[in-house]
Amino acid sequence: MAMKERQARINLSEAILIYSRGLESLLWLSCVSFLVLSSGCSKPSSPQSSTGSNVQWFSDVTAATRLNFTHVAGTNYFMPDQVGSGVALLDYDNDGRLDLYFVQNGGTNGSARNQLFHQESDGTFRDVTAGSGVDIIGRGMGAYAGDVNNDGLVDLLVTEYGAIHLFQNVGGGKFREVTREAGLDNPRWSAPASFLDYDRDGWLDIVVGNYVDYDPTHTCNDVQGQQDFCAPKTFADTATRLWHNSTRQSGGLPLFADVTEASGIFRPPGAALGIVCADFDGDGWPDIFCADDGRPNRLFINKRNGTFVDEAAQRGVAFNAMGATAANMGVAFADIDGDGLADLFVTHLTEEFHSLFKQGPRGLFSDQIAAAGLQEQEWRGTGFGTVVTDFDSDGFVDIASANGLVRRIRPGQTPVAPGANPWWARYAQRPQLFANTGSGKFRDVSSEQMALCGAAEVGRSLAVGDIDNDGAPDLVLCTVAGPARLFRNVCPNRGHWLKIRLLLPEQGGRDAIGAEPVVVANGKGHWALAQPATSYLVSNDPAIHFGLGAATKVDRVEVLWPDGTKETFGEAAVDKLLVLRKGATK
Amino acid sequence: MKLGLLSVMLLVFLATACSQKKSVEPPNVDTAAIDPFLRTTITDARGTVIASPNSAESWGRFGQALHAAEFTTQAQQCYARAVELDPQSLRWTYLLGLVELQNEPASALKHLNRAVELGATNEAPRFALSRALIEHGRFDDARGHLETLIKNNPNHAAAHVELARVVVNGDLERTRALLKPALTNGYTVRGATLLLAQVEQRAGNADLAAQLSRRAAAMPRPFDWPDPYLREVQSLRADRAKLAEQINSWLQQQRFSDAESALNNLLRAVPNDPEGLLLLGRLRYLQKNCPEAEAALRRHLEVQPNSLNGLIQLGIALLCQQRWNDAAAVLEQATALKPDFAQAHSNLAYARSHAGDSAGAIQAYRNALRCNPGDLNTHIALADELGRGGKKEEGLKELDRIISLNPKDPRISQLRQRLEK
Repeated sequence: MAMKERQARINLSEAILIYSRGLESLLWLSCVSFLVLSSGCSKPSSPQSSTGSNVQWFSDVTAATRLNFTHVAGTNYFMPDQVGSGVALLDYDNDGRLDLYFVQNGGTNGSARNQLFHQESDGTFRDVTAGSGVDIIGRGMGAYAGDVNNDGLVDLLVTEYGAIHLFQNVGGGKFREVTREAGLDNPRWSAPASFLDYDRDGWLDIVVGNYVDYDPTHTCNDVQGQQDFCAPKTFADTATRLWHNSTRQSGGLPLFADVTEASGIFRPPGAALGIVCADFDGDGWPDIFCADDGRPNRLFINKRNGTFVDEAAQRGVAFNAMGATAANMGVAFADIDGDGLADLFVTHLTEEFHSLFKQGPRGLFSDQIAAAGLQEQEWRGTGFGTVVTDFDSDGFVDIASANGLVRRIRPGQTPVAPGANPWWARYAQRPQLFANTGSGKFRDVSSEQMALCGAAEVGRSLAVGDIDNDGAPDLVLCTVAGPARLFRNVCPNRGHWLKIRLLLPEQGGRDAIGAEPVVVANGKGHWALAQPATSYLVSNDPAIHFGLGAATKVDRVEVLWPDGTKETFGEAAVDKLLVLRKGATK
Repeated sequence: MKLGLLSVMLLVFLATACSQKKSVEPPNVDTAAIDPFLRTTITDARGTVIASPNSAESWGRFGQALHAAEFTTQAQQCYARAVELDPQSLRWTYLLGLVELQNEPASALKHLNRAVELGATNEAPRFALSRALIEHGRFDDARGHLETLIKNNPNHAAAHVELARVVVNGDLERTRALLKPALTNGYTVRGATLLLAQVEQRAGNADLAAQLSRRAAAMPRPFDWPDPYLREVQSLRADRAKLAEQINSWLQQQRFSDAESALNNLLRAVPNDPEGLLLLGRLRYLQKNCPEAEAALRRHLEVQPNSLNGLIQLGIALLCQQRWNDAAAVLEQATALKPDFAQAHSNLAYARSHAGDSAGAIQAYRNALRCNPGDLNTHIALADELGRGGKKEEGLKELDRIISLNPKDPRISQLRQRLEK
């Protein structure tokens, strides 16, 4: 069986349907070949159950795709080591294939550099780090992709312990660091970040969540007297930072103004590990949610005049179902129950339950983790990165999470994945996968999904994207002091699907970060958010995947663009990538 | 006949043998690194089990010691054995249920239910069971227990809050009524206020909701609702870290004599305990005895030369002796170790300002704000320093920032006068 699985074959090309201004035309692009495993994704005439005990949804294709990245982290209880580092899924050369940018955490005295991998036409990855301009060393945390100067080339923001870096994509596979000249500066321990257009002026602004005010000279022991990583509550809160994009005035060179104080976002401070920027209150303007580790979460509501006010408590997202603060880490914002309103999923520690803040009525949330059956897990992991998407395309979103302990006092899980650092094995836990039963509940299918969930690692970041352009969401898992892994979605009997890329022609054709598409098929609306910066320290595929189940055509796609305008695109075929450009229907 | 008699005797013997509690080895844990007090407690408790292997009390106490040291699996084994030996014990049944909650929720609920049966009027097991049921989405079951708790004790504020949490999505008016008594109880006021904020937001009273949220945010973090059984377990954790935490808490409450006496005990046992010396320095500073504060902090820094906490406290002790240059040197050391140390930058600015280094002070204030934007006190100090350094225009710009941050700050007019002179 193992031998069979190693046999590679070339995947079929996918048709890409592009809406251009004023007319619909089909554009067939050349085949994207990809080394895949023999357990292919045969297209069903109608979706069937895809969660049997022998049916694997994922296959580890790290080696087959020649992806070779190993995270470096110290072993002396320096807290930033434990937080892990992320990955950005971005198409930096606009060749239609997602490339990968991994962040390192080896420190400025080490030699481990952040690495950029280009996806070749055969689906393998080539290390193009040297000379790319993004090959920095440091205490790296997250990587976020967004086109800050509206030139159609995606730029990169990297957060670190003690710094942030903005890299302008200058084309030809090269980047240039523009942090200082762009007016960006953050000496704090920055971790989550996101691009958003908070004033709807067509330019991407930047929010950076700072973690705790860490004292590296402070050591911590557990109750059994063993040294361990300090808990976040040991240290004080820090302010979240916001920069307004002023590139319009600089002739294309990225330029930002620090509006942290003017926007009011510095209060209250917190300990952010996750951020998601989306319209939480339904007024059409993007708000900022910060998942705060060991503190009440913050939800900065956009007051539409350049200021933000924290309304997390009264809107029901500050505390968990028991009214307590939790170790809030990874975040996902998706319509989990299919009612047309986005819900918020936040991962927590092993000794806590995760939170599922369901929205309803609009703008108000309540943690209904138990109602979703998510408290009945086979075991409880310390969740970091989390992805909510429809892996089997049955029309109902599923949940995946990267897990790994933060304290040594509880034993890690086994077997530990090959290549993992033995010092870190004590913190290892297996990833988890929760399948949506379709009745508003989730079932922990981890023990059936051994390809993804069979081995324990110190899981931290989890990114989602259609790496091989076959229409199924794949996963990239980043671990502390271990290799990154690429899991190809090989789920058989998948339902029909649609992949949407939303572009803004007036902004250089960049991705419409913050847009909210609703795909209507078989009379059912499927809501999503165009926001790559969710999960934990990652930037996901900017294209959005919709599982459509048995629907054989899309009735329409309604898009709420980031500037608040609405546009409806007509009927479309399923199992395609649909590129929607703002204004194309006018 | 003889054979029959022998058979009966054999049966009686077997029955007797089987009815004897089987010998179970008490769990062994590695206590090498554990705080001496807790280690002794664990070792003694284990010894008692070995001496009285059929005593539920011995097993339960051993379980408590292990529970306190977070040897959860072993604690669970001990509690289970205690329950086996004494099925009528509420205490061991309840504690078994509590430690099982994370990994064996079904068994935990069974044991918590049993504990409620064993002590129908005992509040702790019923309250814990209610919370566990809510966590598991069994709201109707939880509601029954919470109503019983409130019926038995109308002043059980925490039960009011939990019942409010159960009904909040369906009945806003009842939720408000349930929260009312919890708003005046120290343990529950914060949680109740926050829940009330949600209720008001749902009722469309956004301003009131915002007001309640702000009020709750300003409240200290609450303590857990008292649980006598858990308190027994926690009391076994009398390690140095816990003691230091307690002393720190006394210092914050200005209970100096309590802190002094505890510190004396701590430093008598471990004269160079770095945490103890740091706290002693803090205590002396709060008592306005800055030279002795300095001495204690220097001893602390001898043990931990790079202690940022020690450096910032020593800087403060030197500032209070008006030794500006000495303070600046120590604080520069702190900012070199932690470049984003806002408080150290701010204190360094103060020291430099008094030492006559205005440019250095301005730079340090700016560094502090770079790390901690929005800090009104630092903005005001910077504006003041700019004014005194002859940079009035920059000072006025700084003043505008202060006004935008808090237009009602009483220091604004005074500052403006100084800058516009």
